[in-house]
Amino acid sequence: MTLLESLRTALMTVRTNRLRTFLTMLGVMIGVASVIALVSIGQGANSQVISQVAGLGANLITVLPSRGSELTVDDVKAITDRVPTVGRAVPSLSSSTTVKAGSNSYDTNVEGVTENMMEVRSYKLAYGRFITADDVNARRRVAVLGQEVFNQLGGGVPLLAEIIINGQPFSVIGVLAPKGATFGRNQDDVVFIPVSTAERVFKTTALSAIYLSARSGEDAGLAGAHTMAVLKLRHPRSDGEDPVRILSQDQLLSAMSSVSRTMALFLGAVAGISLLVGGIGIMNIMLVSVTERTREIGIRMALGARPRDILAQFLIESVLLSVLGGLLGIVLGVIAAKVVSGLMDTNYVFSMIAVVSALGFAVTVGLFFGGYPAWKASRLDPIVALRHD
Amino acid sequence: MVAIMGPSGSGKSTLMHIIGCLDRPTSGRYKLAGEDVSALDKDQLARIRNMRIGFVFQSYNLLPYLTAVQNVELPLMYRGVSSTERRAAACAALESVGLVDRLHHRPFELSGGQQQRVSIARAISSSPEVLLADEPTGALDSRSGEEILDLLLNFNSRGQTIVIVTHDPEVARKCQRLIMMRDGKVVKA
Repeated sequence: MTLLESLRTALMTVRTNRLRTFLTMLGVMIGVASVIALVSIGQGANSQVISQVAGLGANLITVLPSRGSELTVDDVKAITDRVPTVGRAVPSLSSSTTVKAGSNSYDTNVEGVTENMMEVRSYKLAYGRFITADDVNARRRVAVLGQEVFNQLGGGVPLLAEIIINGQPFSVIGVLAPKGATFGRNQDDVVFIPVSTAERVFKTTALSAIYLSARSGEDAGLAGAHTMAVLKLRHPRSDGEDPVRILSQDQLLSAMSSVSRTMALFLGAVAGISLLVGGIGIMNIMLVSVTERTREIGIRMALGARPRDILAQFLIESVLLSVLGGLLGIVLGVIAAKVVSGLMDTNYVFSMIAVVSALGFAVTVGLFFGGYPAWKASRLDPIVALRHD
Repeated sequence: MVAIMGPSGSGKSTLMHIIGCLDRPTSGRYKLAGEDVSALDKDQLARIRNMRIGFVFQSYNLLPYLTAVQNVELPLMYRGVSSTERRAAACAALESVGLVDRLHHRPFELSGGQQQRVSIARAISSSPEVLLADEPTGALDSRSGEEILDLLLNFNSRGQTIVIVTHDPEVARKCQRLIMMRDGKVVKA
């Protein structure tokens, strides 16, 4: 008996008992569907996180002052002078405040920065110009609006229009191109002004952060450590704490990838358990089926079926069940992933690896859990099987 | 055509099963055409059943989810005959039992006599050396039973060796040889 014929026979019996076939497949189907859906959703979220981290700026390092330490513009100069692996450094003196344009007012984050901000944080201009070194040196009252702020102020703020920041007049010199949100923080909800002006307006010299760009990705770790050493010398602390916290993109990415590793492990466990349960379902039904069809096995043996023909028949039947279940599961999983990623507003990623391995698992489950019932069927004594009702 | 007769429990069917290589003797030896069968393994026995023996059972033993022609094809399928050849042979066998218009009926759509004819077609489709019929008319009314018997006699007259287990002396009388059994022993051969 050829494989094709065994397959035809299996299809025939599987068709005869449709409801039972469907219920048997359900276990494998749900297992495969959940794996496909979760992997797709997980990968979609992951690729989004990675692109967000990359979007923060190339080789970005963020320096945040610890409680009890103050960073000033002098620290920025010290870092660029003494840390050769740092390309550019930008101070950020930010404050939450109200911005007014005509009758519109909007609460946003106003950041005092220098001309290097565009490059370090990968901002692009929609139109106008950005803050220059001249603006910083001359403490000019000029402002560059983020896309969100521009929209919130009515979307009609022309260049050189006057806006009021913290009660002081500024003229608009540029509007930033939209950049989107990172980790829930809208990067377009910001107004940039020269850092020197910000010191005056907000009456402080204490920076909220310093942004550095390392000269290359490989330099990022070294640049961070070197910066920490420089700042420790400039801001000695009696309590032994570090004066600053240094965050690099590498750290963010590795934190993210450890999250996704845990996620993958979790998914693997879900997949394993559901396929195990599905497999047990198949084994259960196949055992019932062998008992029910004992007489059929006897007839087939009387007509010349060898033990291996019977073995093949039942094995192919169980593999057919699990593969059909797997295929339906893949369809179901892809649909679920599309729906969920649509609802969560994440990217949908079709994972070929997940599909192939899910099918592979389904075949394995069919072979493994169908193996014992099939073996039992093939070992039947023809005369005993024939007498069975 | 050989008839085996005897009271219930006399071992008729067991003898039949041993002849058909479905069962093995607990003692003694069985030689099929001079070949000792007791040394053969399961695969070899399956091959003998497939190539050299045809079975007709009292309860027909057709597979309910297969059509008449698919049932008849089964032994040829296990022999590895290609599907077109198989279909042709199965149709010819069904024609020879007068069921050419019932090829695609399933067993439950056929009368008892028709089902038994399908099972005879299945047995002869593989052109066996011996056709073993275990009370082939036992489950049928007398008219259908007679038709089945005539069919078997017809095949016999054309050279088919048949061994038939029966309770009916009428049937036995039509056979060339009668074997009587009692308590597992052949009492008259």
